Amino acid sequence: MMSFASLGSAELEAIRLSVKVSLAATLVCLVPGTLLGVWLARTRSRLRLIVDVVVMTPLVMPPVVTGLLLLMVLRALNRDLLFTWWAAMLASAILAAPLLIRTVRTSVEGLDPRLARVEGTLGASRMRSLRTITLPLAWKGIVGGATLAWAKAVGEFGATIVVAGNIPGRTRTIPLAIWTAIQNPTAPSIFPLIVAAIMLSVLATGLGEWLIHRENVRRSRARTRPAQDD
Amino acid sequence: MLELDLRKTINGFSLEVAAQAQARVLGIVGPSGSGKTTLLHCIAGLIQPDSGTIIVNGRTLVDTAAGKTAIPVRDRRVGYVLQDSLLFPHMSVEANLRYGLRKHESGPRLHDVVDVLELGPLLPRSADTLSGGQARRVAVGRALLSAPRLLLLDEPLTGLDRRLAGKTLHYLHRVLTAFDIPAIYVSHTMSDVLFLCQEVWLLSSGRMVAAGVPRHVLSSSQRVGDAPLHELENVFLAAPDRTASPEVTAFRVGTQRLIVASPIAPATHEALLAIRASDIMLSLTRPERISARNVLRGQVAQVANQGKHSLVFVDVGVEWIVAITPGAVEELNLRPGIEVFCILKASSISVIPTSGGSSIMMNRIPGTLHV
Repeated sequence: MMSFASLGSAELEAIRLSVKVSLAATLVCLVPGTLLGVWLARTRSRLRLIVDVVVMTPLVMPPVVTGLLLLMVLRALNRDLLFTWWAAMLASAILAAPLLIRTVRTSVEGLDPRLARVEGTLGASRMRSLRTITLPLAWKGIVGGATLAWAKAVGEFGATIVVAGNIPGRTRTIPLAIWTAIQNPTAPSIFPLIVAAIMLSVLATGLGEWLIHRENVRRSRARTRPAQDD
Repeated sequence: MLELDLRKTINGFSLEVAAQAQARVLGIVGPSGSGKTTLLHCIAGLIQPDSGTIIVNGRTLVDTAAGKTAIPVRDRRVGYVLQDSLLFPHMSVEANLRYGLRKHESGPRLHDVVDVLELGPLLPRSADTLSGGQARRVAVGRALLSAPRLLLLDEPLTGLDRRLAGKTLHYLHRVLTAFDIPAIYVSHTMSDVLFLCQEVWLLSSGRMVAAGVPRHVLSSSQRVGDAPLHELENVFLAAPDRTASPEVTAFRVGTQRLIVASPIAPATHEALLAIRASDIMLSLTRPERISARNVLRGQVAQVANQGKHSLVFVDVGVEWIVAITPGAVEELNLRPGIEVFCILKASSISVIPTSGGSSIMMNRIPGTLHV
């Protein structure tokens, strides 16, 4: 409690900015990331390997390097975006997306491939089969992947500082604020920021688990009637 | 109904079939790995044959020669019921049934399908709560409602215990009788095929071994499917004989009476009976003072000698297959046209009760669900 009493406006601003950037990053990669995950799970295209490598690289590369590459791209395309919260959001999205894509892909790969055959014989188009069968059955992977991506975006540091800098009130998210505070021995306690970072991460994971639990309960209620064969 | 001429090689296994079938319900029988499912996949469009043609009811689905015709799966109008039902587990039974409904198309109506397959009580249930037998019925219903021009049934009895398999077989019979849809029924046993199909193709190692009416196919091969011929079962529908005394349970077979050992529910309209071909004895004269409860008069339609066993086709009102030794055939001088008596114990007849009875199909009550 004492920690939150000492939250100054700069810390509150960092928390607000972190929530905004991480949520926006998650939302931005949600639809394309999910579709890409489904595609990677289902396609037999030769492009698959290339796309897979490109998509997964940000996960294994040092974030600073990803940030530098993004910096070069943004310089070429639109310099105005640099050192704004948009750049921070883009950097977070690129680093978070692989977690979503990988989780969705594993989830779709776990579905019985014969279901797709049945859908076809029932006359379903690809879009309809995606909307009514694949996505609903892979929803655990989508929810799990999205919360992972969000948590990753909250903690993003290396790429963000390269493309968005560390501007208080504009691009200084919680990790950047903590880092700044560590640099400055006379700064007030960083404890409140650490608590905020932990709480956001716990919130992201908890929300995902709660959504999955709620759906499981709903389904098991429908299952309470005994399956008697008449 | 079906004209096929196709070749397909997958992982070293080659399927090569060229045949035609006229029957409303065609049975395809063969041991595991004989190419039955590959053939169905080619017809459904799930895999493409390397070369050849597939014509269903005059409509060319595949012709690799003529400008590479290959109608995509979803436009083939082939209803496919796979071994494992494969219902959509996150949907209710009703949503599963409605999934393939095509608007503005004439096909079986929802309430008729629900009636015939007795799915009414299951409609609100979640599909992943059904038992094996229930799931098979829903899968058949779902395929029917997509207004197919051909129904493919891929071993729909596999994995069910004997009682459930019998019930499911009865439901399939009702479906194939009630709805005017040509069907291909794939099985590795002959007994169910004999009950449902008017024509049979016999596959072995990707090749067609025999084709024709069931009697012809049985006469021309030593082994059909996984079971040896003498383990064949005669499966048929029969109505209870109400004139029998209350202590015994009896069914009508043509004009004759068949006494069974197991009691049946009083409301039974019809039951599925199964008798093993090797459980029937033949006599040229009516035996007297014998413990066996059933002696039915019949006429020999055909005799097929096949090494260790001979199959005698006897018409007792329905056609029964009797498996005896070739020596017995010789000694009794059995040949088509002669009169014989079929002797069988009451306990050798399995009775598979059929729920509800076929009365539903006779007096159809307007359903509460309309499409």
